[in-house]
Amino acid sequence: VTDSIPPPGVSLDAGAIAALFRDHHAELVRLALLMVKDLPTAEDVVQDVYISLHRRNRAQAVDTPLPYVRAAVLNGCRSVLRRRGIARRVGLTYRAWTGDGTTALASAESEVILSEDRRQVLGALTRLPRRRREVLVLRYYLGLSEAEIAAVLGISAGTVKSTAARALAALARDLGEPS
Amino acid sequence: MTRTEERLRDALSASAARVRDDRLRPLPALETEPPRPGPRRHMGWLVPAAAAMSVLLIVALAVALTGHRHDKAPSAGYPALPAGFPKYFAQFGVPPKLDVVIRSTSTGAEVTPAMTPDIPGWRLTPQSVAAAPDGRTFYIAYQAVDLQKQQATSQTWIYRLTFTHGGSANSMEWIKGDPFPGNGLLANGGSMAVSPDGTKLAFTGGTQQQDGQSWPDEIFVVDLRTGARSVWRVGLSRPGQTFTIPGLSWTPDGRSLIFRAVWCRPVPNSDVCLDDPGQPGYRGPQVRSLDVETRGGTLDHGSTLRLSQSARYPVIADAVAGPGGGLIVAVLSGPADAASLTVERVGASGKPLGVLYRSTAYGTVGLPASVTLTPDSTRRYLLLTYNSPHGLVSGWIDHGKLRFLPARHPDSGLPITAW
Repeated sequence: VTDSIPPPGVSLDAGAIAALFRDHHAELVRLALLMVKDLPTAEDVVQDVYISLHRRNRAQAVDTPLPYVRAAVLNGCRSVLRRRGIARRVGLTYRAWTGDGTTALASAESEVILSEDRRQVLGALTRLPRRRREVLVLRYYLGLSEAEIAAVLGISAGTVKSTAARALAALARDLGEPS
Repeated sequence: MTRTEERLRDALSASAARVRDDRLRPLPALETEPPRPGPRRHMGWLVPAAAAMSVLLIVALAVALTGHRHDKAPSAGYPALPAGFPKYFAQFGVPPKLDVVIRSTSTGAEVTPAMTPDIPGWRLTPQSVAAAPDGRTFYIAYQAVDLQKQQATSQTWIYRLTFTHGGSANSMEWIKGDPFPGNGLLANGGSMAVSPDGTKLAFTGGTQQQDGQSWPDEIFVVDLRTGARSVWRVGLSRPGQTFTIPGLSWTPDGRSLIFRAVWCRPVPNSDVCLDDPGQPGYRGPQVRSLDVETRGGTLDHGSTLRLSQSARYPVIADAVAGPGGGLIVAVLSGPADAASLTVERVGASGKPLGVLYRSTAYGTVGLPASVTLTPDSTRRYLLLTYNSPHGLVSGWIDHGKLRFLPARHPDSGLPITAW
């Protein structure tokens, strides 16, 4: 699936951007889903990044397009979470019309797939500070190396290592496990 | 690997597995090839730059005149919308400025204009708008009149509008297959809908007949990737009446179209065609489905009757495809001066499945053509627009209530046409 990704240093034209998203669309949505926790918003975030890159051709200047796109998706997720924080503070609530049962179906599937144990782990992950949460998702969902995580988050590999260690320790404490 | 790491990896994988590749909302269909020669691109940055300069000038002037700063105006305070709610809707401008405008569903603010293309020798008037499943692409049909040949040779030109989040830049491109036969003098505004997978565009239009008198509507389906078109025409006309198709929508599987067939009485020497219940000879509209796999033909053979006038459905004001092969219909009932409007679900067999919304405040203005149902591109939300005695109402149906969209801006007094 990586055939269409240009090697480092090669500029991305509109076709390459489209190919990159075609190959990695689901992966990027899943990454966003793990951060924002609902699918429609995750799809919105990826769509925003796609259009933004396509129209501004920002990716032409980057050497590593996929980490760049992942970073852009994470940035989009941070914006969503910031907006949600504001909405929560002013007491706004969400409701949806579920005439076609779409929302109910999605919830039912989630119930089956996510056992209590998994929900407990994800809950503990949500309670971590944002940077630690991002490092763990990139490490344990995408399986990225410390260097790759550093490239996505724009920090040093050493910071990635120490952040991951602290995040795992905090997660273990929250889950009542020995770290 | 520690136990914590194992549990974390397992939980992340299970959570991510909720995303199914085949159910992802498609990405916008942005051009990857050089654009065809056509109208000049809209310079999107000019608008915000000019607006910012105007605001600065106004503020500076106000400060200079009053000698103090104004207090910050309170925010509009619109309620938060559900996650995944459509972000944008399209609306026609108020005459004489007929450009289509894209607005934010949360604030009503203009996001980007779809400037009517300026083509020398042609006059373009927007007729219909449809939203693609990505919610960020809109198709706009224009009636294009050759200024040298006048009305007799009008065509329909369809453009695709795409824009960045926030509308800082946009582009208008012709779709493949353009141009299409134009609407006639009795054009009803037409109707368009994008298929659930975003690959086909269906719309209604009329081709001028040899006698130059009748303009029965037809249904076109265009493959947006190749420009190949299928047409269903004639077969449902009735003597002395004009046949129109005021609305169509795709079924969730993308295999059929649901459309409302209306026979109305043309007013001599005018562009008006009356669909007026209660008048002698009135025959109520029908709701029909069209199998697009038939790839063209006549409307009587290609379509099947789904719902027609009855005691339960005295006036079917609009209908769209519903879940599970069913329909969602807007029905008017009661005396003309005190009609009630009901939006309800109807099963595939015609069995009523329940009321989604009911209003007794339906006005008599424009009966029944002023009622429109518009599902959003994700099919999770349903927009209802109608004329009440207090004016135009536009809102989405939420658990039996109508939630208004912020479309009552002084410059946006026209119905929402797509979202």
